[in-house]
Amino acid sequence: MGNALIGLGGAFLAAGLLARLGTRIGLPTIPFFMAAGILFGPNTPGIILVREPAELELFASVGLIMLLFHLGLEFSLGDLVEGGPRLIGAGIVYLLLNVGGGLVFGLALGWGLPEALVIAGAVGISSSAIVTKVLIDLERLANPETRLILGIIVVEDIFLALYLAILQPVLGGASGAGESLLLVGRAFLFLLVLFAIARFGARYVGRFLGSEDDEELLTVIFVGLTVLVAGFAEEIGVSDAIGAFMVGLILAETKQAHLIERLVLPLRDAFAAVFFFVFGLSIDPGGLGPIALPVAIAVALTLVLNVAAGVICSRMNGFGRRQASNVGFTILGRGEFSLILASFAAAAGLDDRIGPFVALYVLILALGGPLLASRSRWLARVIPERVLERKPLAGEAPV
Amino acid sequence: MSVHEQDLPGIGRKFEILVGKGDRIDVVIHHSGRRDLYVFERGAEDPSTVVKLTDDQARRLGAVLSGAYFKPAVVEEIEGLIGEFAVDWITLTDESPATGKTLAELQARKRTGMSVISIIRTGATIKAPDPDEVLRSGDRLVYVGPQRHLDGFLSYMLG
Repeated sequence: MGNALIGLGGAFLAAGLLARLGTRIGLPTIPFFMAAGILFGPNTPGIILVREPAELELFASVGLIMLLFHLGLEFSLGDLVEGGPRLIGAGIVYLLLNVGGGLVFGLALGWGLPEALVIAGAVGISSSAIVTKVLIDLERLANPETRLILGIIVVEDIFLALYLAILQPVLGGASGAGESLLLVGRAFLFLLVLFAIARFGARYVGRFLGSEDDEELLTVIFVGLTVLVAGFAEEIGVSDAIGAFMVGLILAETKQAHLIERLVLPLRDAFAAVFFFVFGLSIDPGGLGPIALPVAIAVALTLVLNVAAGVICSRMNGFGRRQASNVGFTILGRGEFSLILASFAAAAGLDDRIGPFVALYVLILALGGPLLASRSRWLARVIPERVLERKPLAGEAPV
Repeated sequence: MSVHEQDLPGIGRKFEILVGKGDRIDVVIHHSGRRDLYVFERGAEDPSTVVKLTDDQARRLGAVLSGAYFKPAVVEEIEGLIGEFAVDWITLTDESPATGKTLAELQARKRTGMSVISIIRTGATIKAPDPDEVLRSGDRLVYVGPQRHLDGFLSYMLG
């Protein structure tokens, strides 16, 4: 027991102290939490805090559950509808380019179809946490293109939830088309039931949660509900992450939603750090050599596709070169969602190169993304002016 | 001056306020309650300054701007000095025992411990009232004195 506690406490502390170094120079925390896992894990010399990732697995699962629960809780369809078709359009353009490009790249790697699907998601979906932090840190909340960027992330959030729901049965190792159809059907039935509860039953769920005056009991009950449904979802093959996301969606409709949003934050922050740390534990730096080239190609691909998406979305909204550059380089950040997908792949027993691949990829883009975003004004020069110029209409004098 | 409101998905809401000759102040209200003020000079793409406020600070700033919060330092000083003293006013009515009497007759300080320091009468303020001043219904008497004598003073003057 003592050993396990030392491991857990050490994991928190190592992750926190390392990330503190990073935040001093304005870098996001997620890559540092993961790096702490690599450095203090069994695959590197020096102090080994945790020998077996399995020791912390339960805590890591709770971290994943809290991450997705919070995502569901914060998710607001209203926000997006209010933003109008332009925001949704921008999000779809971004996903088509990046997830599509990621899928082509994944298939080209030749590791297999399920592997390609995981890589498509890991390469295609930006980190909401990192992008939001970049916008706040760089003081760009009042920029005209910021709304576009936030719209893209919201669309990515929805996509992630749907993608996880579809991916789990595919990765679940169904034998034959019939069985995987059955699994997908069961997953969607489960989601449908939860959606129906979110839509029609929020009042009863709210009553079940209890009074807002008793924050202690409210916390205990919503944590219990979330973890229980997540576990149930996992058992029927939907994945704990989606179960937690759906509970978040349901609780978002209750009158206690705002309070729960506040109460869940410390839980999410603490356990998500363990999730990233545990992911780091499984990464052997020695195994990074063979995947260095694929990662380099993936990073280059992401850079090109992000700038392309930035240009297209800016054109759609009549923005200039500078805004296009801001969009492209800000949504470059990769983090929690890529790591969640990689942990799915590990759980499903897919090609074990995916772990190191995503780890290195996230490390580069989580650290490089904010750096590039802060230089986006200067980087705007790489975008040829003419791609953003509106062609003069017939009869209109060229400017 | 025009205010343009926009929502920032996942962050909160933004209010663009055009002031003066093309200068702009953008206020971002985060869901967390935090407020950011972005000040843009005319034609500038980058804000010339960004101020980050907590919910509490923002409310205070808002109150100051709206004029509701203004509290000159001098008043705070006096409040600090006075401590357990009460400074307030009462308004006399036809029924008040003090109505129709002079301050000299009343001898409020001697009998109750509270002093009447000025009289506010429609159209005029009598700052250091003469002892022979006859109090009228509708007069507002500004008084000062130890808090513990307040009840006695009120019943003596107002009944």
